[in-house]
Amino acid sequence: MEIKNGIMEIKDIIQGRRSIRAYLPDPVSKDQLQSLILEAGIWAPSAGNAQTWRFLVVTDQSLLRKVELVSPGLSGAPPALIVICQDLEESRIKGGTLGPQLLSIADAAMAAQNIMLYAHALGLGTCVIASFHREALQAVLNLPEYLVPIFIVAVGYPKIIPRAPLRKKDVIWINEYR
Amino acid sequence: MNTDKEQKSKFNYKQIIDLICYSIVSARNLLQEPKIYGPLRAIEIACRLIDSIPLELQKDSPLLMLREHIEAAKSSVVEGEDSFQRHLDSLVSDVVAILNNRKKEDIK
Repeated sequence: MEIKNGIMEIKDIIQGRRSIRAYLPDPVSKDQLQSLILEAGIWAPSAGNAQTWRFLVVTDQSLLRKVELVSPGLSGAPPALIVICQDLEESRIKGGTLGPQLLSIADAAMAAQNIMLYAHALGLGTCVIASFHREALQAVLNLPEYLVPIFIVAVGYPKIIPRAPLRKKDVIWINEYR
Repeated sequence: MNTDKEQKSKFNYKQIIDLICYSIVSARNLLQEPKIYGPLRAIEIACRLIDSIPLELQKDSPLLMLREHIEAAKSSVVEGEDSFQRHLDSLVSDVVAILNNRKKEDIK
């Protein structure tokens, strides 16, 4: 990884990030987890500057285990999770019907990507997960009905870094789709 | 010295409950998830079943190698469906070999 002036080039960060599915047991500090959210997550754009996202950090191992059991997509024993939720009531007020249907999901996705890129720049591994049972996760995390988990971002130090999957490049058209 | 039967009774009850929970949530979620997640969840369950077997029974067991192969298969998903299928075929060969090496007294 090329490092200039103490930071990685943005292109290297984007292309170097991988979905990590095997983590070392080393804990991630509370400060690091908070910085992922405060220095990156909340700096993502949000539709109408709604900022209806809420971030629940899970580091308690017994709680993490419960989350894992209702989240089949979560694997590799990450030591920490950031559950990106949306306040759908506030989203409806700020974004109309489009708020809960689309904007809240898009906003959460952009926040997740910011978190993952910043984490990679800090030497952490991440994986974004949507494969969980929403109501079960709400129950395990004791969340109110209006606060809906959209994504889980697993965070930890990578044990195995997978190769980059091939990228399809024939996905661009200029001015006209043929 | 513990008998094989006594050791088997030490199966981690909590792990089994966890596995039941994981299986049921997976079944529900798979209704709406990509098709390839199905085999992925199935081999993950196989992995967790192996982990629920007490270490003393896993010793010298072909299941340890099988577990390694399952991990490799899980990783192969990102390489595409063909690669994943090859790994799954190889896992099938592994379990068939385990079945064929079973002692007669175990087949009851």
